[in-house]
Amino acid sequence: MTAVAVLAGLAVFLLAPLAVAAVRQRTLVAMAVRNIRRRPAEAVLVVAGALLGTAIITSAFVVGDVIEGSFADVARTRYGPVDITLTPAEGADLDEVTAAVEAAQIDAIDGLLAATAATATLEAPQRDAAVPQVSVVEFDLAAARDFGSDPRITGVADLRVLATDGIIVNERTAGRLGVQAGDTLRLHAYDSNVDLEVSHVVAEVGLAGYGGAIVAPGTLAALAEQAAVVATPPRDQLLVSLDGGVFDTRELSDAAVADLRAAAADLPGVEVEAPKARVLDDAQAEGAGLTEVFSTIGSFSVLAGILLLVNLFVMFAEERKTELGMLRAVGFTRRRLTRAFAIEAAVYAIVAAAAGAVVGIGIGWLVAVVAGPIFGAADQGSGYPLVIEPASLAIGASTGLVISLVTIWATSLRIARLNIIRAIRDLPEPKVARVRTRTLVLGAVGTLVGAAAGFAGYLGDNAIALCLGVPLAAFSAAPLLRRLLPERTARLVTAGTVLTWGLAVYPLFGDVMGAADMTVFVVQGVVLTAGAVSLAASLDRVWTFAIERLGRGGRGLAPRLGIAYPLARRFRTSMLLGMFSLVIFTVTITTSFSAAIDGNTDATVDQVAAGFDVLLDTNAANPVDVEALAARPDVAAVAGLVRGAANFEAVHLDGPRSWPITGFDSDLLERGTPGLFRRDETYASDADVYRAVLDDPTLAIVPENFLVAGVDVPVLDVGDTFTVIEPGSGQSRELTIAGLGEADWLGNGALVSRELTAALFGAPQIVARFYLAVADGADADAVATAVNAAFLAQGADARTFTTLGAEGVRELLGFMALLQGFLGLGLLVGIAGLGVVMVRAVRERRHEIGMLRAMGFRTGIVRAAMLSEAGLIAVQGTVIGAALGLITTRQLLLGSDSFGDAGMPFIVPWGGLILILALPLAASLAATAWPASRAAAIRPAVALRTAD
Amino acid sequence: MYRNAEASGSPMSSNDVGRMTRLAGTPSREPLLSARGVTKTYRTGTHEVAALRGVDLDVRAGELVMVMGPSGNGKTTLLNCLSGLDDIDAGTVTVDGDDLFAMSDADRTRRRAERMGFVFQAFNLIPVLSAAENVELPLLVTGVAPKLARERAREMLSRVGLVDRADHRPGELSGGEQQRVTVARALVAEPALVWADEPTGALDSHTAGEIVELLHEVHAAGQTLVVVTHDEALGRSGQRLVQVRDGLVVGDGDPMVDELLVAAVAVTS
Repeated sequence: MTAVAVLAGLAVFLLAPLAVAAVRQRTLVAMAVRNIRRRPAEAVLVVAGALLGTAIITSAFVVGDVIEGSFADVARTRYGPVDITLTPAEGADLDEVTAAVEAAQIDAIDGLLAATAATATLEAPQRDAAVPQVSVVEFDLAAARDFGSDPRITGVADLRVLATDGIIVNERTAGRLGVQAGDTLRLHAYDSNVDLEVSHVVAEVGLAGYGGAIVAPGTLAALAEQAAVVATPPRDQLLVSLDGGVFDTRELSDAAVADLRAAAADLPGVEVEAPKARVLDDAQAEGAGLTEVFSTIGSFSVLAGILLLVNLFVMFAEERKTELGMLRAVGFTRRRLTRAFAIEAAVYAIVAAAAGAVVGIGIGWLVAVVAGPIFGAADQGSGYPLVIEPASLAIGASTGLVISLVTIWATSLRIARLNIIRAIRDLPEPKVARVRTRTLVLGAVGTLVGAAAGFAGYLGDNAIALCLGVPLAAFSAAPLLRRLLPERTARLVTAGTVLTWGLAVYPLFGDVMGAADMTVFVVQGVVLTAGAVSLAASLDRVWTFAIERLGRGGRGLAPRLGIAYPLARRFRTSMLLGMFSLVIFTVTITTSFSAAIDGNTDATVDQVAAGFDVLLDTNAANPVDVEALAARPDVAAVAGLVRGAANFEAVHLDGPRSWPITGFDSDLLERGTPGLFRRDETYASDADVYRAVLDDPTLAIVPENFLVAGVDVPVLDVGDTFTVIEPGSGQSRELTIAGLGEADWLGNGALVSRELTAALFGAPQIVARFYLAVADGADADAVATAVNAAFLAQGADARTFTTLGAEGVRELLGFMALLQGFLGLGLLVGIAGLGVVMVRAVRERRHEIGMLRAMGFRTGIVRAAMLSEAGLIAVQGTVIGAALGLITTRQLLLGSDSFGDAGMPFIVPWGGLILILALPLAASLAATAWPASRAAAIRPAVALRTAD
Repeated sequence: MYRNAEASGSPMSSNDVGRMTRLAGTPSREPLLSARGVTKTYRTGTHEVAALRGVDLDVRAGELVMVMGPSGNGKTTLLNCLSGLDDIDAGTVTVDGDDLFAMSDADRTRRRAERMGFVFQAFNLIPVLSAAENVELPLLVTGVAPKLARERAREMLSRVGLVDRADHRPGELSGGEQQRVTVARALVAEPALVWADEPTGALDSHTAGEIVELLHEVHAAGQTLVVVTHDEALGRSGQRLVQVRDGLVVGDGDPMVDELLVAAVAVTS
């Protein structure tokens, strides 16, 4: 809310003087309204151009809201009234736990329910379908209906009775099996099975989502009693509901957990978990992370939007120059003139902010729907609820409004400085031969500030200050340089310095730059673009020469005319080029990264697989016998892993966080070593790290994104420590990170020794995950299929590492594609902006176009000249952005240590590059086609006769 | 050659130049341009204004035709319609024997490019192009090679006394200089007919005198010119004065004869 208040305050601060002027001087309002009504189509274009920035900002927040809503919906579908679970140690009495909780009389609790849960395999023999691992729960249906304060959120309110040979499945499970009420399901667990009849198919809500299937009390225990295998037994749990419904219990949860832990303190080995609070917290973190990513990536588009706004209002002012000059002549003060112009522009800004927020909702929701599956939101939640926080809309709209108003004020103040006679006679501003002393002083101050900022950034490891310092100093020094050098040379020196710095800062100061976050990437992009665009705008002779060379033989008249305006109006051209370059820069970087990831897939798979071919997961309640696996003729080697979940604590976390943990033994290292992203320098090789972990239960290998929510940046590094809490005793063990693994596609979490997992989960250890190496000549996919069929009852889920790698890469590439799509919005800003600018250019150049037509220029040449102008800007902007994007990607991939010791290959994505270059050009030409046709259709006599 | 007249240092009055050049251009018998029954009506909503109401006019090669009349009586419309810049409602306009309005817009445009030049009161130079680049445009549009076009543009600028300003943009030139550039631009492609619409309207009297002098020199060199003007002195300095009132040609003759007639009437009365 603080951000909303600050932004709203700023908006009011900027709008208040205009509102006062509007109330006091109605003429100003009348002028503004009539000007808008005079050219409604252009008013729409200005609003359309201005709303894009707001839409992008709003959509970034909406993405976060929708994704958060989608993840948070899991609280409704899988937990409902279940806020906290108490799981006693194996063999302990649940009644004792219940009695202890009841005795504690905790106010926040409004319901208790005893349940038993286990993982099982469900097979539908009639449908020839199976779900390898489903959570199956048992509880008393009558008690479940009254669990908590709202029967509707239990999901079982309408269920009366469940026969001992019956099973209730939720819609998700029924859908995967293709069954309906009356069908028979075979439940496999504990090396046994039982046939059950589907009595109901119910919605996945509350308790009906807590388990994929509900069976009558005693069913799981009966199966477990017969078990001859070492397996995870059914877990007795006390489910606790807190006062309130689904989403409003979060605030009570932490205190209730503490009270329940205290209540169960005398009972050994009771685990107290708050799964719903974790879901809601994770959803919030996921949403916030995505908002940050899309806001940061979107900031390029927003910057492009700002440049468009500046361009629009500068053109707007130049078009009105004569009118504004007359207003000054008849007695308008500068102040009143500023307000006269700003009131009209503010109307556009307010309408654009409101419309932009609405458009942003649509864009954000669309992005979230595409992003959801990538982050697994669709798998868990029930869809993509259009959940939008009012604060998100307020921040989006008010940020867009403030940006527009600041731009309007700056433009208005500049306009008000016009020379009355020159304005009335529409004469160009004369070139200032000598730089003013005031400008020199300001330039000197700016140079010193820039140099100091750069130096301080270097000393203080502040990448933003380091990156911005030199460009600030260089641009500030421009007036001083103009005293010493010819203007063109001074411009070239300034632009060249900024561009060189943007390119060199990473290689020169990699230690400072490499450790920074995404904001620095934005800053570096802006610096590079500013330098390159300034340079391009100053190379007028080069472009003219190129066009003349290309246009030899009489073909070049249209391009020559087309390039004349952009070269003569450097400021406007720079704004347009900047719009294109900024967006193409980021699109190129994401495309190049996608190419690098794609090109590195095989190497990554090799690193993860460690010489094995197939990953097999089985049901911990009915695991595969490792001997049976090893005895298969199509299997050459087996490495078993003990996998579970534990609570971890680390300095960056507010409280314990559940995360997977996997124990391995020397079998995993038989055929190679899973590659590491980074290792402690004390170890000579990755294998040494694994061997050290095997020998030392205080060491661990964790994935790069260990204990990180969503898309947040990794925080833990080699040498850092964290704590794992023993599930039974609640005791803490400190672990040190000996190596960092790659992204955790396999969900192993922390890799530790079997010695540690035995201490955490007790003995005997249940090996339910296996790495398989297939026999020579065997096909890995065929082996995976055969294993799944052979061990169906054990919940076998075997997939080749190649498939898993491809899936992982596909998800990553999907996310990159999504970012590209989001950046495409920025491109839309550039293209739409170019279209709007060209529409206004036609109006501005009406007389000149009329004269050209009078002289005998055919309509085709006039049209081609306009198209050439747009095309040249689009091509220049695109090429600048693409070139800078490629260079930056190369620097990041080959020079930064952010991509691990092995690095990643730099691959020029030719196909993508061609699209990046061709699409904006085609779209820009399409956007300019209408104004170009309008220009060509101007009748010369009409153009020469009338002012507009 | 135009430069020489300016360089003499003793600018003549427009009447002097007119009298001198009156004899220089020898009009041919065949009309270069012939207009018959040209009408043009402007419609603004329900309001209609008949700008031209059946105008007949011939312009012969080598003539210097001055068109005068009160404001809003159809002078500029006459120029626009006869040059093909604007459509007409009825009548015919033939140039070199071809009906201008029987042609497609593309052909009419080509005919303008090849046979006509224009000078306007507001100069209408392309502000982002230098003087030389502005002047070479009519050559480039007719397919002259860029290098040759640039040479001829500089040559033409030299004739109007502006070669040293060839690389300056319009914003860097004075009003008189800009109008000289427009004259150079109108002449560079050696058109058969140059139309000038109030060429001195935006200039002070001294600069206007220089432009009038330039136009007479151009005419003296054999150029056909049709000049729409309010300037009485300029109007009476041509070979032929066409007077337009209420969309009709109400007078067409030698301004000297008119002057003599007026003087005779004054004496006799």
